[in-house]
Amino acid sequence: MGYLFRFFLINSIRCRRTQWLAFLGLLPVMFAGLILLLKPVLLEHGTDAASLFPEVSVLLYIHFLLPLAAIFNGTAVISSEVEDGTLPYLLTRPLPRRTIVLSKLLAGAAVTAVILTLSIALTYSVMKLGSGIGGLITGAGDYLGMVCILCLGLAAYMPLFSFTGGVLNRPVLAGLIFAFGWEPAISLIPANIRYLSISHYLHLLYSSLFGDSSIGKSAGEAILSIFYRPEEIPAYYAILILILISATFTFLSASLLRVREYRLDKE
Amino acid sequence: MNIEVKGLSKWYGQVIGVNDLEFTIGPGVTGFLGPNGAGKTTLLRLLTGQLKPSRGGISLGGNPVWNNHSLMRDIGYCPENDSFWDYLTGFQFVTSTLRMHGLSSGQAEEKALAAISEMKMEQYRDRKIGGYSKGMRQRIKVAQAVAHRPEVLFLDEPLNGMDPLGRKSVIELIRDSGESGKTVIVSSHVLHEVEEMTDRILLINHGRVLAEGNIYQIRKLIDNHPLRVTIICDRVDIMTSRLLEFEDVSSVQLNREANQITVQTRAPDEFHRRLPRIALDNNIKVKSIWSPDENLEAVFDYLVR
Repeated sequence: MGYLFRFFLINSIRCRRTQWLAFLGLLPVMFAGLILLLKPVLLEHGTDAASLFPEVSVLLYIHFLLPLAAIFNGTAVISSEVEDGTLPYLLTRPLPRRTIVLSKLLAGAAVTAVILTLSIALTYSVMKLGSGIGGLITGAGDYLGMVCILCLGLAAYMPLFSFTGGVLNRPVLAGLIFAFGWEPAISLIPANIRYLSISHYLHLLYSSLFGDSSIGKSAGEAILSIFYRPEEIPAYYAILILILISATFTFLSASLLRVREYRLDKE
Repeated sequence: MNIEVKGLSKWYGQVIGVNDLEFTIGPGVTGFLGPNGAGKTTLLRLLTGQLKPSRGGISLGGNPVWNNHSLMRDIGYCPENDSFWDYLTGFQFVTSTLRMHGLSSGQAEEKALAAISEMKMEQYRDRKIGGYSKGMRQRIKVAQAVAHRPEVLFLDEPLNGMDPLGRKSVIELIRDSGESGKTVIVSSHVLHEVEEMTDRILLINHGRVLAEGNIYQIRKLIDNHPLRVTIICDRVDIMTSRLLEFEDVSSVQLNREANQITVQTRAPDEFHRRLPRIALDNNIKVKSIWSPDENLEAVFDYLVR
């Protein structure tokens, strides 16, 4: 598994998807720069760029970059080998089929995690520019907390999208619908259906780390929360559920090559 | 190592890939011969455990193939499709596939170099596969299939698009592997290609095995089938009358405007031997000769009928 992981790691670094993802990772940094430029306006409202880091990061990372990165790298775990026609080279080696999927999933997750961590580190640094070295160090807890939430989110999203990439014909579209349609939509429904969303658990973790924030929620969600406040589960439950989602979909996607066969697109 | 196929069928929804196949293949070279779309690739992908049989079974040395990754240690497979991790060099590609066989870095590099040199690819080994010609890509594909010295080798249309030097290397390699007691299966849609590698073939069409055995027996079957031959020459009337003198010629169609004659013969080999003599004796200038039936599809149509 060690060699295969390294092989897929290099493969992931070299692929165009990762280059696009690295570019997308710069968008939150640019957004942070924009906020920094608005410093005088923020000061008028009694706040500054540095204190907005948690809100900005939940909006740009948990709701945007994390699911997007997981969709592109997760769905590609099996489907890219099928689409590129390279699957036969892997299936005709003395490698357990689970190992093939697990190695690629891990390599994809590692590359995605590095991009997200670097991106959020840059965003954090830009937003704390005005606070000096002291501000950077005192706020490091916020940064590390956010990185932990993103890693947990990635651990849940990647196997889920890896599984959909192995079973659906248009996994990217399905992933986009799930992350940017289903998840925001069900957060507006005042019932326990919101537990069927990964971002909900990430939100719970965010709230427990940084306190509640209306910026972290969509506008509709914020309005709804005035009238209806569902009974929330504690943070460690959220962590457990995310780990459970991760384990379940890791197992399912790793089992796919054992039970499912693939016709190559170029056949 | 023997390959045993029992009652093997594979279908995709309503489409039948292979249908109720039953055969045993032992050491030596065996050719899977059939036109494009005959089911050769599906059969090879079934034999290498990439596809799951819909019905029936396949075993290699008595072990089932599907979901049996340890069996892959003895298998080498060269796919038909022209797909690679294009950013790798030829050497990195072969080394990577060897590392996936569990070989150490040193062993993998040593074996990769040997396989690459066998395919006469030494001077291109450090070039990226993305920049390879079709023939070079074919050769590097074969190199990765043979590099770990497998007991059973499956080569799907290995000579497709290959240059003469590459063809020579691959044909030699296939023959040598067969002679050394390995089980080699080569698929092709070109009869003379298979003839160069082996005399033992399985004729496949529409997912079925039409004939199995020695290539000369099958050649005889093929040679007996009525063949149309089109000739463009001057003095078409004389040529037509001379051709009609022979018993094997069952019909002649004459197109004076185009100076073209289409003959149907039941003895194609004899016909081709006789034709130059007729032209010489009657001072006829032959511009071109071709046979619209001389493709494998036509031969298969004949065999099926």
